[in-house]
Amino acid sequence: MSEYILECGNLIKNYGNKKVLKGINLSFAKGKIIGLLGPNGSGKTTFIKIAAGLLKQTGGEIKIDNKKIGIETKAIVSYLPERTYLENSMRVVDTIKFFKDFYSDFDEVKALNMLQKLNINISDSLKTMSKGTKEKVQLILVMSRNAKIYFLDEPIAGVDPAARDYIINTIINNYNENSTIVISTHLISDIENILDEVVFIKNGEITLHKNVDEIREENGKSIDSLFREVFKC
Amino acid sequence: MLISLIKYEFKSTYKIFFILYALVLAFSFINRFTMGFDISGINYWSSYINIDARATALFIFGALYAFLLITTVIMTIFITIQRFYKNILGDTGYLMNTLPLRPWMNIFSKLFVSTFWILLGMFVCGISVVILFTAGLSISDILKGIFTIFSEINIDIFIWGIKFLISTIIGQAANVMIVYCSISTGHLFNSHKKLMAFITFLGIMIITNYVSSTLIFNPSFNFANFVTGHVISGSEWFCSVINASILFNIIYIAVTFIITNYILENKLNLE
Repeated sequence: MSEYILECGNLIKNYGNKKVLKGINLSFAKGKIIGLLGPNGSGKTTFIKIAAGLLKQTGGEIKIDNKKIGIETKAIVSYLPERTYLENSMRVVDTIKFFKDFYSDFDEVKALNMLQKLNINISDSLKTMSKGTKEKVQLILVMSRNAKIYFLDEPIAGVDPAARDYIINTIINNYNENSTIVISTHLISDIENILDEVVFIKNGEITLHKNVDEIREENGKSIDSLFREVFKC
Repeated sequence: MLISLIKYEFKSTYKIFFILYALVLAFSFINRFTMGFDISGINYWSSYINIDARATALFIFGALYAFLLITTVIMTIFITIQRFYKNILGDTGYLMNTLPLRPWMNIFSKLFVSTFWILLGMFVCGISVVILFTAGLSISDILKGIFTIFSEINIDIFIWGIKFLISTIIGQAANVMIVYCSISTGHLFNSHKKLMAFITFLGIMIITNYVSSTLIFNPSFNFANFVTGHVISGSEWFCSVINASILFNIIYIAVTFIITNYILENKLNLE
């Protein structure tokens, strides 16, 4: 069995004439928290969407748990998009039932506990909630699955700094040792301490993929400082 | 899984339809009442100073009823489009397309529920018209009337009634699938997705209308009749139309379903 949960080779994605991913080669080991870091428009979201099955690559190959993207990988991938993907007409309790109905790895008790800790009333309708609260509900649903790999696309971008701490704690506390978490963000300093590996992505190309400790040792600086240096405008 | 999808689709759509249907039925009862008013002696337009309250009620409630019927039709079309466009290819599509399900299940659940609402809408509007125009008639009068009409038609009412029902269901399902197929085809383009969806829809409509006028509704389509010069009767024509429309609508559903499924399975691009 492969030690990697995700492997992709020469992954290419074009939108019309625009090249968004230019032949990416990546392997993510099992049980790691990986930061997918890059400026806006670098291809982070596109890469995650291909892995989640929302986009088809133009070329190359991507496999999760040694399977091509499809119904089997969707069952083991827990994906948090950068937008609200729940129906506004639903109440929180409906979204929990929905996840329970469709994902066999969904842990309802875990979700209810987290919602209670955040003082989110499960009988509240999503349409009455702020964007930040909706994002918290989504994150709780996504993290309440016992998935093999989590893709969290900008999980902290839309919430206030206090809530960011909670979200990061949620991610760590729900981290199963055998699962891999891929977090895409440009707010590096907030999450830097929880990362095992980082991937720098720039203009659709991987410029760096390394262990966080190695980077600190070799460069003598934080990931945030390195990022600012590499992606300096 | 499929049952769950259908259940959630009903949950997301039933409120608006129930409200509309309740209003349509309520207004048909009101109009049944106001239509009973005797306003024969009133010249409505010239005597506006002394506008008769009954004539005003007749006019206003009649207009509201017509408005409600039109709203029901428009909302049914709008929701059919909206549920597929937003829930499969819009923001909530990010959830629906990452569920561990085959795309055909998403398509089928939406097709099933949309077709159900269209048929129920037709039924409710039909009932409402019956309520409106049967004021003063007893149920036995109505049944007698229906029986008289059918006894004059020389076909097996039961069999052809069922066939007519099936052809209506399949016909509406085909309409819904044509809409889904058009939206999905529009999605293949990098820009002007909505415009391309509309153009696809027009293209499919031209084809289906051509088929209808040349094959389905054309009495000489039956080659044997054409050769022998047999002039078919109205009821024979009716039966041939029903048979042909069932056949062609099944073909439309199959083709559009395969295309839509192929696009969602292999060409999905939620940008």
